[in-house]
Amino acid sequence: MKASSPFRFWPGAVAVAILVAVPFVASGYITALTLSLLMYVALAYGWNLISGYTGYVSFGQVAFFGVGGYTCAILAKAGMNWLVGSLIGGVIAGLLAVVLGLVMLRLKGAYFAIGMLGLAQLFAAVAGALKRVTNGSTGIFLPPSLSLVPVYLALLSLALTAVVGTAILHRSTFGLRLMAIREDEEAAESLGIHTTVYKIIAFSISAVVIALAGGVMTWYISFIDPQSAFPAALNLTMVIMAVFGGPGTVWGPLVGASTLGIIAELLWANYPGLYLVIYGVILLLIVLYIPQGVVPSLSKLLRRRGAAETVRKGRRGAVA
Amino acid sequence: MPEPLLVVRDVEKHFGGVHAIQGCSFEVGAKTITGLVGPNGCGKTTMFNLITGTFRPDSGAVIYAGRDVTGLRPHVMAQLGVARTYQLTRVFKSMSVLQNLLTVPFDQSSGERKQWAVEVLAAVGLAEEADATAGDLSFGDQKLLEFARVFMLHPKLVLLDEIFAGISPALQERQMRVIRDFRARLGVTFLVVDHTMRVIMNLCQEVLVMNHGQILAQGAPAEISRNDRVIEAYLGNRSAMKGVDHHRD
Ligand SMILES: Nc1ncnc2c1ncn2[C@@H]1O[C@H](COP(=O)(O)OP(=O)(O)OP(=O)(O)O)[C@@H](O)[C@H]1O
Ligand SMILES: [Mg+2]
Repeated sequence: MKASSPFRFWPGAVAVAILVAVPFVASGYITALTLSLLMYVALAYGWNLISGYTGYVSFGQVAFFGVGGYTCAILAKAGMNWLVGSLIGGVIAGLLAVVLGLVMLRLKGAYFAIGMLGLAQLFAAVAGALKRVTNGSTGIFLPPSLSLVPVYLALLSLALTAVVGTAILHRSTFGLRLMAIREDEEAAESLGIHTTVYKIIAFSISAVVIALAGGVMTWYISFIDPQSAFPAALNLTMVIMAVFGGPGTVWGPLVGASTLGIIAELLWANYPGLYLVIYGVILLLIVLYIPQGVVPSLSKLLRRRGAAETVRKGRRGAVA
Repeated sequence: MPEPLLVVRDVEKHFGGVHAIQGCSFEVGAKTITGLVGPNGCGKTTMFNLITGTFRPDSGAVIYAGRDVTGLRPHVMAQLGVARTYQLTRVFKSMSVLQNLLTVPFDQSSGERKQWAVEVLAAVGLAEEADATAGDLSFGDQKLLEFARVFMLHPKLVLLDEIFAGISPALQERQMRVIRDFRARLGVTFLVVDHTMRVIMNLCQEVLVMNHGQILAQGAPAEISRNDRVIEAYLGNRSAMKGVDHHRD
């Protein structure tokens, strides 16, 4: 079962082909739903890198969503192409994360998590105060985007890059070193790993992914204000999705974002009043019964099955 | 005594009111296996932390391979070839045994790294467990894993903090064999902290005795076990010194 095996390659290729076809063949509703799932996928992978792999659980990565969003909005307003504006937003967020990381990544555990939450709120306050650039709480209105297709394809590319990048990271020495930092930072350092540098790189790439999503979504929504740029709920959503699927795994965020995204949509459509209650109960059950997330639990189950199967086959072989 | 690889000179360390290391000086000869013993709380682990840069000495100097390395950060010391284990084992629990090793070193291709990891695992007797999750290993095997991981750095100086504690004599023998073998084949220098006198006396050419953050005595194991001041320092701990002479090789 090597990665190069055609059996692992084909389902992925088919899935990608279907996803590319969606905006051209599916209804507007399905396209819009898939589009928001793709955004969740990208965000969950961005969060997974710094929090799932490196162990620095952040409740404020959404800060970079807003940085990407505002950069795109301001540049688009000035006449720049929205995609270029989003890419510049990604670069700015990445550089900003290097500077902020130098300070924030000295904090550990809950202090880092809450410090990031505070940072995101600070960003929102600053965005509200810088009226001349951001138009304050009135927000920036952009010309409505006439076609979903470019936005959809941009988010699809981002989500795919995040998935493939994580798959590569997972097998790389760089990835192993991030995991080592998560497991025991002092021991990692005693092995010669310059932990500060590794953490900052992970934090910065995470910021780039999340900012790119923010830029594209801002163009899609055609509006940004401090509340839509830095929604605390969105940060919670990316945490929950990655944790549900399995943080620090290649497929966890994909499973988490698509499953919870679809469940949320179905609940919201069918039980608008009870949506949040049911959603909360589901999350509670998950945390109680599969705290490691879906992907690790499933693969453990399959491995146990596989082992049992081998034993059974072995016995049969022995009898024959 | 051979050319020293490590020189500790007049090192002092306070923790608030606790004067943990009190003007400590000693040398560790290159390619030797040197023991560092002393009663609980006398400053052995603190000394390791000062050598590896986990703590910065209040004053004094640490010279390694002829270079003043006082206060260099732990990752720099590791890259210079100083590797250590921890008294309370620190393996990367949710990673596999092999992954624990493959996090280092830095100057090798992943192929070379893997080959070396397999060799090291075979040497300590963990080859069968390569794909096991580190956190699922027994206490003894986790100690072996941390011990094995040290060699991934291709270290020149290895500091071992009680790796023999609480594991079976058979495993202890295996660890001693690996230490002797790496010293003989690759010229690795070892500084070994342990309370298991049988092991220290058996393994080391030179033993440093520490008490109250100072070096009390230094010499060959046989001399040390006859030294009155050493026996006094261990008064409450006489059983530890018992049988030392019978276990020399
Ligand atoms: N981080 C620290 N903060 C405060 N005090 C410390 C710290 N580390 C060590 N000490 C104190 O320094 C002294 C030496 O401790 P150390 O752990 O070095 O002893 P040790 O020789 O390794 O003992 P043991 O044989 O029990 O492992 C002790 O009094 C200890 O309480
Ligand atoms: Mg100690």
